[in-house]
Amino acid sequence: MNFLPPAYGALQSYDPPVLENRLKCNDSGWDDGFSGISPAAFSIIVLFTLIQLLLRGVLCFLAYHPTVVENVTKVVPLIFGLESGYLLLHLGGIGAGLIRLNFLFTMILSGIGLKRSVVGAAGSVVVATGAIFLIKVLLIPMDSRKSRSASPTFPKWRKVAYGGMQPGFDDNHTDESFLEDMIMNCNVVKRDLVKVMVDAVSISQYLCIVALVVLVWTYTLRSIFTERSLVLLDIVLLGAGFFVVLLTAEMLSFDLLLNYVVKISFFITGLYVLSPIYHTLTRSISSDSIWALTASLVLLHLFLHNYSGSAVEAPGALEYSTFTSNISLNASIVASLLIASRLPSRLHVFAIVLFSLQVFLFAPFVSYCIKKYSFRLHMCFSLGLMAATLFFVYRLHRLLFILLLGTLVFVNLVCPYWLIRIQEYKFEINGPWDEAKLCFNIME
Amino acid sequence: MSQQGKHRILMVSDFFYPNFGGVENHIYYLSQCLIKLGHKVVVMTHAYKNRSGVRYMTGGLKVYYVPWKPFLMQNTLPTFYATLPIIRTILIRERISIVHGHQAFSTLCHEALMHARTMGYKVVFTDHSLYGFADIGSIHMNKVLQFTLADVSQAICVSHTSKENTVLRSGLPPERVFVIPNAVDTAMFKPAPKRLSSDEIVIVVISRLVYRKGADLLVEVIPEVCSLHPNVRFIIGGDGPKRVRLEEMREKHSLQDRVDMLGAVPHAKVQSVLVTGHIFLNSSLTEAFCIAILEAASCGLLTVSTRVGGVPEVLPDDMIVLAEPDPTDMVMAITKAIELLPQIDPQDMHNRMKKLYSWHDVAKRTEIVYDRAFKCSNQNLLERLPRYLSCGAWAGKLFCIVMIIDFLFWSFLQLWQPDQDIEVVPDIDLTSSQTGEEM
Repeated sequence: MNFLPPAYGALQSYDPPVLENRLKCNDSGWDDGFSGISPAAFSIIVLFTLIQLLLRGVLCFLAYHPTVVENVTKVVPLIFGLESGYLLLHLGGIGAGLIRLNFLFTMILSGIGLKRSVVGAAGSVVVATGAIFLIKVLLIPMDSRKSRSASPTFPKWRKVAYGGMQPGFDDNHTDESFLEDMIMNCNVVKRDLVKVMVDAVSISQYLCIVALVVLVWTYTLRSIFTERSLVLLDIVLLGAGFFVVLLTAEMLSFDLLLNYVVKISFFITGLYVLSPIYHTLTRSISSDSIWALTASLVLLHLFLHNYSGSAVEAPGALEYSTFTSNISLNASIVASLLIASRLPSRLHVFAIVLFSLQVFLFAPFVSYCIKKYSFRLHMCFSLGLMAATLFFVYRLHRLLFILLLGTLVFVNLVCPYWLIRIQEYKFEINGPWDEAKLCFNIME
Repeated sequence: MSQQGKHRILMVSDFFYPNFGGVENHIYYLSQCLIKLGHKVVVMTHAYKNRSGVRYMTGGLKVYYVPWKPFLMQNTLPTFYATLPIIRTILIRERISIVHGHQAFSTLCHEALMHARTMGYKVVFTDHSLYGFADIGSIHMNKVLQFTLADVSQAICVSHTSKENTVLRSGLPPERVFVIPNAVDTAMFKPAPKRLSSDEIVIVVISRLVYRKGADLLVEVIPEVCSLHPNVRFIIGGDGPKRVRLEEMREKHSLQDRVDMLGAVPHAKVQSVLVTGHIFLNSSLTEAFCIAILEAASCGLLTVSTRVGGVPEVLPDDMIVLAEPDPTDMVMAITKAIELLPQIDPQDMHNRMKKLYSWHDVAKRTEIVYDRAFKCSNQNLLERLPRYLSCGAWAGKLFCIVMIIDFLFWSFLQLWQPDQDIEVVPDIDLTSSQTGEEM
């Protein structure tokens, strides 16, 4: 289970550090951006408060005079309200400026000759204010005051690059918006075991076709098949292929058919003319090399073959897939030409090369047509082909039979199961860093 | 560290002048501003054509053009160990204290950081680009990055999106990745002295004409905009494989008199092209930061851009119109920008940009990162190996072997040529003499 992608480890470790870091940033942010109340400012506030208290005391003393008692009831609520407002502001931590304002206000009130009693009442409230403020300043620890007044001073951290370093936050600040746009496994297709198995039948079908071709080669090399029977086989195959295409194709005009026939007749003529050359082309190579080369070329062909569609007309196939399927096709043609040099006569060569080319070029196309026409027919055809191949190979050689059977089981049962098993390790990450995909086709 | 908290920094990247681009710009301006802050900065890059050896640039910025030839897209061939002797010599000669590598594509940067860690230097890495996770090329690059960043002291990214990307790619804890954006030289990118007439609206595009910069989007957008707004004209600066497509589009819609194709614009002339326009159009499909937008905004142009990568973080919402990378949405965004245009004052925008971005600010913030990196504890090889081992089942072991061989090679070099045999370069304070002349 240690096969998890690297990013997964990183993801798991996010949550605690993010939180921790955020707390840390809030703390250190204070020291960087705003240095709190400096000792000088602090002592000024205390001094002002003390002076204020002293003056208020004096005012209070002056105000306590018997003649003004009756007027007190009217003005006291007003003054009391004002003073308690200031009190709240003090508690909110707005600071020394307002204390000074407060003091000024009291002085003006007394200066313009308002009733001394009013001033006195105000003074008595302010004494309380001062006391509470002192308590607040002295008793509440520095840190909690800092964090309380931090919230109105600093704007929230924003996920932007402009404007320099954001006050109160380090450059490595990470908050909950980190990776919020990340999407995981959005394109993952949930696969079904049965469907994958059924799809894998196409691969085993083609494996069987290639195995049958190799069987024909072997029997021809052992002179079990005569050239006549080979040519007959070619004709039958060609006829069958045309029949299937005619049957399954939806829009097949007479012109297209004629086009096909003309092309194939050219092709056959060319092959017939060239067969003497193929007969002697690789004769000088020793037989061992021929067998080894042919075997490896057939394997290469199988490995690179485009199993998803037909090699002849791959509709909408990607560029690299046509490239590899071209290599695959060439490998198969070279393999059949190599075999041709070990055959006894020119007619043999013509028949065998034509047969191989027919199969390698057109079998994928025909099976694609069948599959498109009816899936059930495709399954029947494939299963029948598999049974027939297994039967013929069994008659040829036991070990080869076991090998083929093993391959078929591996392709059809083990591989789909394996694919489904490793699906759960699939881990896809998408996010704003991905290259945007264009929503239209680029016509070059 | 040398006197009073000043660092001696070696900037390493394959990308530096005379080559031109975002990374080159970044290294140059950052170095200049760090020198002004009193640090010593030396740049190391590979040789460009016949430019090889040591050169001095403005302000006494010393550049080592190491004689390694680039092999692909200005990258040196990855050699693993071949650069160790010369990097060691430079580090000792210049009495470097911090090595700062730039750009994940740069092989020279990766090698230098590896050797610097082996030799026990503190390293900082800046990532300038975004990378996906899906294709084989990205997987390989991400593994290389993971190797380099496994033991890096601090990392810097140019935008928050880039930070997310780097953290995911390298598995680095997010608190060790800093976000320090690029900046723009506002003194160089000034708006036109006289305001342009608004009878004809000019839209400027300056970018390499390649797929990743969204040249194909331009092909779709330009004819549409031209047919919608008869008073719009396009100026396209830049060259690249997609230029042919743009020219074809121009022929097809007979827009020869409304779409100017300037070809490649040298960086020194970018400003003069920008000031002829009202709107700057950026159609990139992926972008970590996009300096071009900054340059345009600094020239007082309203920007229309695709909403990709780090672009939405670059400018305040009232200075940019964002659109999805889709032709119809982009045409709508351009229409919106044309409506907004009367409210835009280029000079005002330029002044705002001055406040928003400055290289001095970038240098100060980078300085903090250096300080942090410098405070990281020293670790010996055995303490560092577990970090590499955790990079992956196979890759981890490979990385460890690479580091051990590097260590052995370094030990051998120390025997071969002891540190004290390497001559130390005297410090010449070129900045003070220069400022003296100016005064």
